[in-house]
Amino acid sequence: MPIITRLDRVLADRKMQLQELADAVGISIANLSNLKTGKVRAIRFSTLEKICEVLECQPGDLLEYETEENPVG
Amino acid sequence: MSRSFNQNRFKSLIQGTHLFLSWFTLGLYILIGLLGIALIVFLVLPKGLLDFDLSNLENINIQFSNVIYEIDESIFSGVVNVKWLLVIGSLVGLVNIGFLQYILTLLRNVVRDVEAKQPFSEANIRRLKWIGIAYLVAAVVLPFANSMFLLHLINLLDLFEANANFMIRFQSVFMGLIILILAYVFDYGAYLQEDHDMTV
Repeated sequence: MPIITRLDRVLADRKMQLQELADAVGISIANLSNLKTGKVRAIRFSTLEKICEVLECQPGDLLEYETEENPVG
Repeated sequence: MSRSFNQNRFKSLIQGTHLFLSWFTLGLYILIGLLGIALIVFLVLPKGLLDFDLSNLENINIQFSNVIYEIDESIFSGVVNVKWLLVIGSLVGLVNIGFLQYILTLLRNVVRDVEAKQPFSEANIRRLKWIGIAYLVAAVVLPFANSMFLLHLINLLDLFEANANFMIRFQSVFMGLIILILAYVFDYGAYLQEDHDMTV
């Protein structure tokens, strides 16, 4: 899918574990793991809002668009 | 989101239906077994043992549309052999109960999945589709089988004026169509469920 999540990168920058984020946001670790690995089909604004609030970032820091021909490194 | 169903009441209803269908299908399995045994017995028994004296008939009533007609038994006389009547009767009974059993077993499994809060499973869509198809087939096969039995009975009793009409059961056709539409609705429900499950 052209939309990819950069949750792992933001988590690494914040030196935060996925479990800590799951506890802070109130979402199961399984769902967050699916989000991290790009296995989800959609993300609710409310979820995005909570993640951005905890990680002190913008939605654009978490999501990236890459074309098939020109993948973002 | 507002829910149209009282969840607790619906849960009790589904649990009760599941229990009833489980026992009912178990009872039907026993009935099918007994009918199967009867069929084998009727097939194996020598023809001579199944002669029936029609003068023994008394108090014959036939019910049509809630009206009971009393038949004058004096029109029946002589001895007839009922071997093939019993064989055909058992077969027709097996076909009728077999259809009922098939539909009720699928329905029981649908209810079981609904009880487990998985109404929009792939298995349920397949089951509903087959229930719909079974109703459409039953609309033709069951009246045909029943009329075959009646025709044999009419020939056996020499009832020249009686007739066994074969007519498609339109109630079953409509029921089958409604259930097939419901299967399509469930198919769409499964798509929405998958979308919902894959949203965080």
